[in-house]
Order: sequence, then structure tokens, then C-alpha cells
Amino acid sequence: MYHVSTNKQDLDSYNEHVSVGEGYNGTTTHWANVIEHPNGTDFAIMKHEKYDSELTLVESLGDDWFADVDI
Amino acid sequence: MAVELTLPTISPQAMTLESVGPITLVLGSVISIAPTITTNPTISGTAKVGETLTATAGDTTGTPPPTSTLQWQRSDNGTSGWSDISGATGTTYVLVSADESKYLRVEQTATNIEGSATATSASTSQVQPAFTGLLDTYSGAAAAYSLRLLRGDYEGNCIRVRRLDDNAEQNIGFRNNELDTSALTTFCGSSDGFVVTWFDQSDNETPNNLTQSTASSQPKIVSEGSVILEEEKPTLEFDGINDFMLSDSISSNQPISFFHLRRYRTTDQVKNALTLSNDTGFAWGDYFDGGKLRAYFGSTGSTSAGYNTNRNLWSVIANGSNSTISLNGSSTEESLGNSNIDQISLGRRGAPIQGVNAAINCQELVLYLSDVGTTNFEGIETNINDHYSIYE
Repeated sequence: MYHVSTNKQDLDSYNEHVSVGEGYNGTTTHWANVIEHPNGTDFAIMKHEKYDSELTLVESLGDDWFADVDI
Repeated sequence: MAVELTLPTISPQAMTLESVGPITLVLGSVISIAPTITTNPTISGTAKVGETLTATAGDTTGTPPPTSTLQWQRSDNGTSGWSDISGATGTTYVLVSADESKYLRVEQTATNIEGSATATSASTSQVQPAFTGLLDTYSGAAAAYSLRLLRGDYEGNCIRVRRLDDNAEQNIGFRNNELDTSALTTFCGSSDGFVVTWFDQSDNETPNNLTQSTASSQPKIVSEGSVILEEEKPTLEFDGINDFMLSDSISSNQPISFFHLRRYRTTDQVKNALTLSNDTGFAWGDYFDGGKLRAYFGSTGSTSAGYNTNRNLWSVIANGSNSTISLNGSSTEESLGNSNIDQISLGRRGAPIQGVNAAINCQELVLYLSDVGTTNFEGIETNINDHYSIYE
């Protein structure tokens, strides 16, 4: 599940909240990376099962979240 | 013999040799007892050429207390015909090639003025040959990741693991030339374990370790206390959602050779198990696309035979027009494009395109920044297959 927002800072804050709460140390530094939608205005971050938030929650990210892959 | 001195009472102020007066020596009867070794000496260590054995002397009795010496001995069968190894009289002994297939023991001799006693340890098991890893035979790798030991003199760890329940991290090494799964499960307990670092076993001065500092993107190796296995051997499990590991300290514009042992768990379209790429997106690697397994971005270097969910060894020499792609030891020669590389991305296509993570189980990846040649190419494939039993 993912939290989504048009405010990247909200997701950064969620990431920081989880990272501090989990007390990562050593090589692990943070919970997740914020994903930017190709439209440049939407952002998402994977939800940590132990940390709820009032941010919008979606089950998964659609294909539109990822740029067309040309191999 | 004991000597008793009887001195007169003297005051400290008058304590000079002249003032002490006569000294009486009383010679008493003394009992001397010959040495006995009450517990046999023991040996610890691994009976393998290059390893060190350590002897611990047995307990002794006797009067005066005996002194012990050690002598290492060798035998062809472990029961008879023991002969001294010249100069091997220390508490430790490094096994040499002459010991291969032999048996060793240590003889302890305890000595005092009444005589001596000897005792011997139990025999070691038959001494095994020195470990020879893939990289001992095929040296020069630029990066080598495996859950088995690849080089005899590699002294580093295999992986660094984060356990889920408290996020503690610990390095896990090797035991009997394989990932130390006992140490791994002891550390993880009943928790999940995720790989933070997959250590490079090549002998580069600066190792090209694969790392992942983002918790949610770390591949799993322990699930609820059990090591994840692929054909009975440990494996890294990439979730196909956002797991990947990266090494960006590598750089080359030369031909490359790589050997990738993995299993795609799904046949979803456009999935990248491995990319050896640069920031322009062109790369060599291991991809699913268009119903084919591909070695290069573009139409070349592809085979439909590898588009499946079997565990496969995907090996490539990317050398321009004379390139070789091989699936499970069956190779074809093709012309591949050219690309410089500056990163290894395992489990996902590297920058700039993301979101094509592959759900794979990966056990080994070895990369050479050169064309290793046909003989070595086939030899490396054979080495990997001999260990993992991938194909007939």
C-alpha cells in the first residue's frame, strides 16, 4: 500500500517519522524512497504497516506511475 | 632433594653475615614420582590443507612437576604407521600439501628426573585438500557476489543483514565455504532478515559491494526465522515491487563478461533482473521483454528459451560483433551493441528508468570487465553448475 500526495514534503515527513520510529542504524538509513509520478505533480511512498497516517492511501500504483520502458 | 635451612634468631639491627653465626643444613628424605599423563592431549581445528590445527596438552602428575613437549605425527590410515613430522613441535600446526589425504595426531611427552611418559591424541579426520574457489581458478573479477565462498583467501563476510523486529544489523560470514546459515538464523531469531550489503568477494583493493540503505527496498533472505532456499541453497529474494541493490563504484568501457544465477518468479513483461548500465539507459544485463530473455537493450542478444520461471544461469560475453550469450551452458554467438557501464543494478533497471523491478531469487553474480575467452567462459559456467546443479 502507498500513501500519495501532491505535496512531496508530506511524504518526506512520513518517511522521517517511520525512520526515527524504527531507529534504523548502521547501513540502513531510512524507510523508503518517495516516488515521483511522470506528471511531476503526484508523489507516493510505500506505507509501513506499523505507521498510519492521514495521507491518502491507495492499494497499489498504476502503470501510469512509471514511464514507458523502451528496451 | 629438599634442603632445610635452620637459622638462629637475630635482630634486624645485627643482620650481617658475621653476626648470623653458624648455619645448619638439614637434609631430609625426598620422594620423587615419575610423570603420568592423566588426560590425553587433544586437537582442535579443521583438517584441511592451509588450515591451522591447535593441540592442547593433557594434564600431568609427578614430582617434581613434569614438563611436556609436543610432537605432531602423520599416518596414512589414522590407526598405524605414525611418523614424526620434522620440526612440528609447537602447539599449532599449519597443514601443508604433504598432509593431504593423511591423518594427524599429536604426541605428548611429559618428563621429570624420574623419567618420562607419553600419550597421544585421537587422530584427526582425513585431511582434505585446500579450498579452491571459482575466483582462485578464474581470477580478475571486477565484482563477485555469492552465497558460497568464491576465493580461498577471502577473509571478509558474505552479507550484512538487518532483522525486522528491532532493525539491528550484523555481518554474516561463511562456514564450511557456504553462507553461515546457523549464524544467520541465530541472529534473526523468528524475525525476517533483509540483506543490507552483499559483499564483493573479488580481490579488488576497493570492493564493489552491492548495498541498499532503504529498508523497504532490501531483498529478503530470512522469512520468519527460516532461511529462504532455492533448490536447497540460500537465496536472496527480490520482491519485484521495489527491491534492488546497487553498486555505483564500477566503471568501464571495455568488453565485459558476466554470469548470473537467478530465477524469475513470474514472467511479467519488461522486468529487469540485472542491469550493467550508464545513465543514458543503454545497458547489458538480464531482462524479460517481448517474451524473450535479453542481454542487451535492443533487439540483439535475446532468446525465447530463457523466458520462463526456471532457475537459469545467464552468461554473456559482451564483445561487440563476436559476443556470446549462453543459457544454461548452451551458447550462441551474436553481435551486441556497445555501452560503457558505471553501475551494477540487481533486481531493477538502474537510473534513469525505474519501476521495472523483477521478482527474482538470486544466488550468484560474477562480473569481469574483460572478454574472459571461450575456455574460461565455459569453465566458469561449469564451476557454477557443478556447485548448484542447474542443468544436465
